[in-house]
Amino acid sequence: MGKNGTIISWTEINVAPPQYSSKTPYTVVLVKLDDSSNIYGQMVDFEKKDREIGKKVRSILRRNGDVGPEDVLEYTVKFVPLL
Amino acid sequence: MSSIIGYYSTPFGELWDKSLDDLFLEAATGIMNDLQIEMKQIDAIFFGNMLGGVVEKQLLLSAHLSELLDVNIPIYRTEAACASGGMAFHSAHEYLKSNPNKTVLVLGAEKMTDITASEITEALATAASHKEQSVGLTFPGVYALMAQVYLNKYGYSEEHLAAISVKNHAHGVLNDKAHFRRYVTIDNVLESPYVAYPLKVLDSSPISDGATALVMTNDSQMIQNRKSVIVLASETATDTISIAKRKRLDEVESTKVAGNNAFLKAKIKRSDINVMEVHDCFSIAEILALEDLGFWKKGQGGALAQEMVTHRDSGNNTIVNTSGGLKAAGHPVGSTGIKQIGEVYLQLTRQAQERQVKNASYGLAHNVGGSGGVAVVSILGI
Repeated sequence: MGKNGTIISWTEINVAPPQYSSKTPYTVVLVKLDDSSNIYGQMVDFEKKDREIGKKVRSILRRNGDVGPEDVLEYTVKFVPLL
Repeated sequence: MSSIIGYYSTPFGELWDKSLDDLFLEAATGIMNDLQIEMKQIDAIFFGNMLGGVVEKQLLLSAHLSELLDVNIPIYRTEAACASGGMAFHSAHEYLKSNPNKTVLVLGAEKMTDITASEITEALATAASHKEQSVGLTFPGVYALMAQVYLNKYGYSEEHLAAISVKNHAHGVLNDKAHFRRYVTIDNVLESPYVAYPLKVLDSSPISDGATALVMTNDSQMIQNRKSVIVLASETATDTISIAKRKRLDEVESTKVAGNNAFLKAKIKRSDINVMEVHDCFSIAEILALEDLGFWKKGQGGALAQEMVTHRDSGNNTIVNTSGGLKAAGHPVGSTGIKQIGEVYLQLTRQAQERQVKNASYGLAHNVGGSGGVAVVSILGI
């Protein structure tokens, strides 16, 4: 949480597997964290100009997709622009 | 040295009335009838299939083939996602290297159209890493990440990618087994909806049903009086499942390794290759393939793709994807690798009809699994 990184690449998904079908379109980024590891995450709360190769982002905790009515909610790491 | 003595393909497309078993049976009996060979002359079967366990809820497909073909011979399955067919061919080749005077049947089949787009997306995503799946990346999404890096680094646009689809569709028009037999223009591609930005519907190979078969042998009696080609090399290499762990996103290392090894084995030059079937699961993949196989310099691909230098009407020496590639011919996953070998076989034996490239003497087939986790590169000659 709260780690910073740089966008290596990004895409916007329009056709998704069942778990994410209700969330399209959504953005997935591949980020090189400042500690040098590469991780994936969805990117949220951004303007298009923030979503480019080389832009800086920071990691946060957010809900992950849809689960069944009886299932435990899932949370996961996502990214927002580092302003 | 082993040889290919025959090839058969079902049509590729939405084959609503055919199950996976039907497809396997059609390809196997089709080739046996064409070659006038009986099952008792076959010593083993190698087959590729990725999603039988998901779409048909059937594994142990070797037993299906035993039942369909009424045999008790050894049957080997290879699964390497989209390289399942290529790996079946490669494995058959390895088997023949160590077992003299044998004849084998190589099959590939895939049934993909009986589930929804969302379900097939999920199924195909199993060829991506856990993280790639759990973040909702999807398989087109993985290639989209690679495309973004490539376009950004070398200064190309979606138009450069579109040229690949335009070429492959033009080639597919001449393939009577192709899923799509219609021309598309650059504008058609650019106006098609995005699947995973920047890849659009018309940058992406379709979901298709289909089956293919080859007969391979190292028995000189079986080769007599038949149209045959020699397998000069078949090499395979691997790379990480997750592209996040790759050294570079603008190249596919498994292709480079397998390709270099194949050319060393075959002892021919890139410029000797007259026809190539490369793995264009998405338009970007064909550009990367031509670079990673050593035909184009890294970063030149976008420009060369736009110039259509590998189009059958280009007048150039190396024509790529006369079958229409994965894009136009269709991509029943387990069948594709075998279709690629088969198309090269037809070209080298002058059986490619309207797709025939004059004087084709050497050909190459390049089959990739997932985002490059597996690559199989094979070189054939006459």
